[in-house]
Amino acid sequence: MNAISRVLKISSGGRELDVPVRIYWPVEDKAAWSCRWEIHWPGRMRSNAAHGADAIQALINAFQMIGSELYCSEEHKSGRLWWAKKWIGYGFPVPNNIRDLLVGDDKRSL
Amino acid sequence: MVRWTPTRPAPPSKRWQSREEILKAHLDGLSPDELLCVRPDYWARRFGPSASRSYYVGKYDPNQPRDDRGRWVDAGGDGTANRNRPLSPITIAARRNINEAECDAQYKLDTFKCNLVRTPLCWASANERYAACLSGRPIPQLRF
Repeated sequence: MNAISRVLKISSGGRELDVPVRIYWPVEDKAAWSCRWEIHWPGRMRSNAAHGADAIQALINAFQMIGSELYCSEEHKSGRLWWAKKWIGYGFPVPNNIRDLLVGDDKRSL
Repeated sequence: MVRWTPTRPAPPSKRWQSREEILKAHLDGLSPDELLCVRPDYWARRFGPSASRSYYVGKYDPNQPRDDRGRWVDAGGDGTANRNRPLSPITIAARRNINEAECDAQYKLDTFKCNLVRTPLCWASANERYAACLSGRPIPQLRF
């Protein structure tokens, strides 16, 4: 199964650790399309599958679920999580009802 | 008529277990974080007084104001002292597990409903409900 990924970074004890985020290609279930995603936090993994009426909605929902996970995480709240040096935020969209949580470049461009 | 004789020995019959033994076996099978969520008293007994102490000492503030009988009183401030205190890792893990498990269960149930109606609006709504759950905000109704 092919996956696309982004590697976020987290600072922990003076070290930088990778936080890989993986999104798998949407697949058609019996009733809908599903798109599996994973966030590999240090020491634990969060994973789930977003669903949608078609592959594109499943993929967009997966992006938003990941965005929700990141913006609601203790790691984000503690300010230890980042993506790229010249980008403030993580480059993942969130659903409309928590858009106010977006910061920096995410807030401006997503 | 040939009498049938068993070729394999009969499996040993399962010993009768009391409710207490069954519960203990179940609790022993949980991870420390799960155990802390469901039975903190058993967690403290199992992992010893040192683990219990480090957990509860994290919550204890010797400078919290008390009345003349030694009882805790409201700090009277804006609560920033407690907010700024770092949470112990165990507290964070326990709280996160509860929230995430609830949100996962909610999304699973929403998935079941959306599989029945199969509308794009339902999936979008399920996503908003998931985000609201994770962020601790009021959860909107599922729309179809």
